[in-house]
Amino acid sequence: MRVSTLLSQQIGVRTMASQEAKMLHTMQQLASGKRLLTPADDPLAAAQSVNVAQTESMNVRYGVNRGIAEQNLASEENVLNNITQALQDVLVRVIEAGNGAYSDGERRVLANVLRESYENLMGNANATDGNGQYIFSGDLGNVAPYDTQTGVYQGNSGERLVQVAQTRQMSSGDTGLEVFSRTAPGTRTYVAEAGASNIGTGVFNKVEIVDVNAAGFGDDFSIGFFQDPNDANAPLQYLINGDPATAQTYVPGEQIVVNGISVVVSGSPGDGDSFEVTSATNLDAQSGFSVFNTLSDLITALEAPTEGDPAAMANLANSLSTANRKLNLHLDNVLTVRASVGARMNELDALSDEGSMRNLNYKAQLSSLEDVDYREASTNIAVQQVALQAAELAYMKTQGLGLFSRG
Amino acid sequence: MSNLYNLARSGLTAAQAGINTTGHNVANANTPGFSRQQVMVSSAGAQGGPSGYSGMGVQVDTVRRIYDGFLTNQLNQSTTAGSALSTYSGQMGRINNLLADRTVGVSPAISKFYDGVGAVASNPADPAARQEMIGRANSLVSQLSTANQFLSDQQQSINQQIDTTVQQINSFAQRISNLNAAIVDARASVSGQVPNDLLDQRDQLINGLNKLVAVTVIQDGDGVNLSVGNGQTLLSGTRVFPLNAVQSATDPARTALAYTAADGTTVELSDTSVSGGSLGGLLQFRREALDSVQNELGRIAIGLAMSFNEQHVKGLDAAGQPGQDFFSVATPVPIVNSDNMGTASASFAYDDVSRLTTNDYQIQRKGADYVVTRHPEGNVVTTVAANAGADTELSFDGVTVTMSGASEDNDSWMIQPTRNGARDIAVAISDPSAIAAADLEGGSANGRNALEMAALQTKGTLGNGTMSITGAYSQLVNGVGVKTQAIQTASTAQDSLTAQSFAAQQAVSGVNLNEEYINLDYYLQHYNASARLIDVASTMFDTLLGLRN
Repeated sequence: MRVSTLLSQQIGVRTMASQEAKMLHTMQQLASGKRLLTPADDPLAAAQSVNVAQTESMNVRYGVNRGIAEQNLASEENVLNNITQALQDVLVRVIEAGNGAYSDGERRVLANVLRESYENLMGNANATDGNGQYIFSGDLGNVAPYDTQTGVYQGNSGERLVQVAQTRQMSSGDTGLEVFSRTAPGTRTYVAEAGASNIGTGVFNKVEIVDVNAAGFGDDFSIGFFQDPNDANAPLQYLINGDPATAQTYVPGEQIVVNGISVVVSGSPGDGDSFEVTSATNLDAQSGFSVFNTLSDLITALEAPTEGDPAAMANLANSLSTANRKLNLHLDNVLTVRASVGARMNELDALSDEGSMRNLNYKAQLSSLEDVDYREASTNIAVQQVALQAAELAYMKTQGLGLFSRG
Repeated sequence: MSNLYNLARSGLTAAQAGINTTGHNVANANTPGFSRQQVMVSSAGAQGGPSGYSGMGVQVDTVRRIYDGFLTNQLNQSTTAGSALSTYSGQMGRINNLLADRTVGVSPAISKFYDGVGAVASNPADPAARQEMIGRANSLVSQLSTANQFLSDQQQSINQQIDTTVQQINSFAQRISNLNAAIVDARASVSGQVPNDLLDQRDQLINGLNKLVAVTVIQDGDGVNLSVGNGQTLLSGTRVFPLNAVQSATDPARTALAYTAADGTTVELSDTSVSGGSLGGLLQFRREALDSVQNELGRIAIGLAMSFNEQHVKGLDAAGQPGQDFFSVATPVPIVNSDNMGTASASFAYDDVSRLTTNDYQIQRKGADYVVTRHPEGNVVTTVAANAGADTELSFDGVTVTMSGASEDNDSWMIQPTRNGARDIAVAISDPSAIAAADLEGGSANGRNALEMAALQTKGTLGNGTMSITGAYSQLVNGVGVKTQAIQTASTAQDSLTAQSFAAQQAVSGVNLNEEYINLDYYLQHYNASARLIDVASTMFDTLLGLRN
């Protein structure tokens, strides 16, 4: 075939240009450290890296979220620790108040100490986080959860959910209802309470579960005492839940078993006196169950004068029993909430470990999709250099062969 | 003896002609489009006498160019296909480069925006987190509109390039027309001889024209006629029928081709009616790639904005008020064909974002119906009978277009549901407290609606619920990468075909300097030998004259 001089020049130029373009591409790869310079270099990898980068960024967000949840839970744990100590302190005082040798004055001193505890608990219940948001008020972060005067809950039951992993939303706190107005889930105990207007000296004790299979187990009930109005000498009788069919003669110190629960009443209840027995599972904010009500009832009882008044003394004894039982329930519940906080923090730690691992994974994926293999690229550039030099040499040799250039 | 002088003279003349032609070849060794030339000689015959026929030397018949019409035609076809692909590839490369770095631009802005939403969800009472979310929303909107602006600039640039290319095409046609005239003149003035260099020039111009657009060449006597596309005449003899670049009647934002009909009216040519050359490459790029990339970007913007708004209005803001739209999107305006005869108007509404496609649509009144077709392919999407005297609703692919008023047959409207989505998206909220982070329970620590909004990041918002926003973006990146790769590969392959066609054409017509050197040597020897004949004749003459002394 004839080869025109123009063609052999153009072929030389084209070959060199193509080798130079390949070398430039490899040089750009080496300089940037990226194998993928544009989507056209590897369209699938380019699309995948967009998706992996998004997943990576979401994983980073979950990490930050875990930090926020961890911080919130740590603040809560700190406050719950204070509350635990305050409740334990109050329980010591209640036992102290049961000391029969205490005078009215000494109990009033105790009542004052408990007022301090009340304030302390109230302060902790209305604690705020770094953003000035109340910790225990549910969704209503800028509403104090408890009215300092009345002790009424003003927040709601909203959970502060944080996205701590792709498929896990965690509550980064607990509401006042869960901390102060609830018995620990699964608690199977009963609380007895003397009627507010009891006039006799009847005192309850030993509220115990005797038969969990009894009919009506778990239901609340009341024991009401009455004297036959037509016969002052007739023995005192009691009714369960006001039902005349249940009328029994009262024997002091004898077990009264209702719904599988046994209560022992001693002393002489007055006509119309009553005792309410409530299942712990029915104790909630709606029924007026809260640390603050328990405490203020206790303080009221301690401040009532009892000296020389057997009925008042019976009331005090009953109030102390009720308070003791309720405070124990409050304490158990707070400990349960703390355990849940601890469990959540542990879960966060586990999720964080997993998150860090994922992060490494995503980085590795991105790197394998996008980054240049230096060994391969260095080899490539060496090969390309040889090819370019060969093309240049070939061009020079061919052009030097012209007869015209032989002079 | 005088015969010997004549023989010498004819030899000298032939050698001289050969040297001249070789010189012309050497001088034009690098002239594009030049075909090497050759002197054609023949024996001048012989004179008969009693002692037989005595030769009369050599005569120069003509100078011919070494040329193969088939190879030239093949080179033209390769050139026009190569030029289209290289133009397409160059334009595509710009979009490819726009999406080159995943760490800048739209995709990190999408991630950062949702990250900001996540921050508000985790800390709804933190005003800094809310401010940050609005900042990131603004940055996302600006990235979308920057990318869109880049594509709009490319649309503009294509309009200008079409305009310039059309002028160049007309100028080429005019120059070829001039050469047609010159060649006819030349043939007439020197009877029987071919004006080789003029023919080369005309072939070279036709090759140059093929770089701009594919032309069909029809030989007509000594002249050529040219047509483009589906037979639209560009040049007939010496009469040029120029192409025009006009504002399209279907979409005033774009420049289309047109020709002037015999009655003087301008008739728009469809974009698919011409192919090849840089003009064909530009038009193909515009309809195959640029429009759909811009539509995809617009669909991402609209999908993101409307899905986010839908969730945002379900919540309550920091003041406990129901959420407003977080983003604003514009309602596309149907483009009325400027040739419409009726007075009907079309109004547009989005129906279902997840069903949006990246197509444009044309609505056309045909008889008693409105026919909706995908543009530019022309597949029918839906046909709805026009309500006489009442509005007609056309629902298709997640949008509803309401036609009202009287339309006439063949009236048409262009619908671009997503074209300007990335341009028109904006953040509607500037007050951080207007972010509806809370669900209907309200409260400053309530971030449950923000949690829902953050979850939209991976939710199937587009493609009938199959694609998240980022998924759609990665698909866009993939699509552009695949298309760029395909066009680059096709362009490289076509370049090598063109190189082969060029080599084949050069093998016949190209100048080889070594060959010319040898020819030069050969003609020089011929010349020397002929000159030697004169010497011999002279010696013979002297010998005869010397006899008298």
